[in-house]
Amino acid sequence: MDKPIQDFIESGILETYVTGTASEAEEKEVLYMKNNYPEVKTALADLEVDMEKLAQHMAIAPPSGLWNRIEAEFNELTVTPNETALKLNREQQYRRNESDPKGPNYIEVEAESTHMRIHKAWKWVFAAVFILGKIFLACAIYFYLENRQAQQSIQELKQEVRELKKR
Amino acid sequence: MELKVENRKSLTSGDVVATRALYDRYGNMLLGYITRVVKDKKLAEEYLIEVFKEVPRQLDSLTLTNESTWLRLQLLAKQKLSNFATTLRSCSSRDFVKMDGSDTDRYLDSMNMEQRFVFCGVYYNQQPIASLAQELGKSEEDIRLILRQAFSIIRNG
Repeated sequence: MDKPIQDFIESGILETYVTGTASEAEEKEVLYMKNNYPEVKTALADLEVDMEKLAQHMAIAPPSGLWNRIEAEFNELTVTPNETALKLNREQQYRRNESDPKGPNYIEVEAESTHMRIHKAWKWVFAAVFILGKIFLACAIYFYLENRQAQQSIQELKQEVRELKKR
Repeated sequence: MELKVENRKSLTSGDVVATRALYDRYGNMLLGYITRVVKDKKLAEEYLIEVFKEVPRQLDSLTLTNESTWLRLQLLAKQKLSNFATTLRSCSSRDFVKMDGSDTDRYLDSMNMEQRFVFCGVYYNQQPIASLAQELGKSEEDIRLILRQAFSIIRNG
């Protein structure tokens, strides 16, 4: 290996790059070296493996319901069905798209769901509508009874008037 | 390494499936990392949700490049945790919440004070090299070399 390349690898710049703390100029330098020198590319790949190994050692299994919570967040956005396998290997799709610059050839359609999600504020509206419904029902019964009583009074009065006319 | 944010609002079911695949593969690693930064399991779970909410919008940048998907996911988490990172100062293995079955403490305990300070400053606290150099009264080149030594310890177990 050339000494300048070895010095570059051993300078620690690759470590700053993989930890995301490299400056913009350093990033450009690393990418340039990576693209032009296989030794740098290999060293960078080794570091990426180290980073993943470190993360695996500190891994904590998420609780069982956590994915459902993430999925529930997705449901707030419009989820449209398509071929599920289509994006499983996005790299393959990318390669396909490279040969077909017109882009992906699927059509987004609305999801057929039997459920709907609404904002929590609507529960107060529903409660108000429910209470108002009860009030209107009570009023309707009250006025119905009042009306029936008035009708009975009218009938009685009519009866009295007829009796008075007969006399 | 910057993540490009796409302004796409609707998701396809394929996006959700791909995100689930990333969650199955990297969710535990990301939760472990976040828990170490925020030092609170419940809060870490909330941050994990925040990170994976963002994933469908960034699937292309996460999976199409020739860079490590894990590093890009971690970068996404670091962006979400940037407020936390600036508040973290100490980095002793004793400061971390003890995790069941985790032996990352072994790596930290194998490092000397300087290596641990630099490694944690960079890895957990997102401190720039220049800032660490100033704090330790060393040159940036020295800090990079110390970081490299810390990585050698991780590599050699």
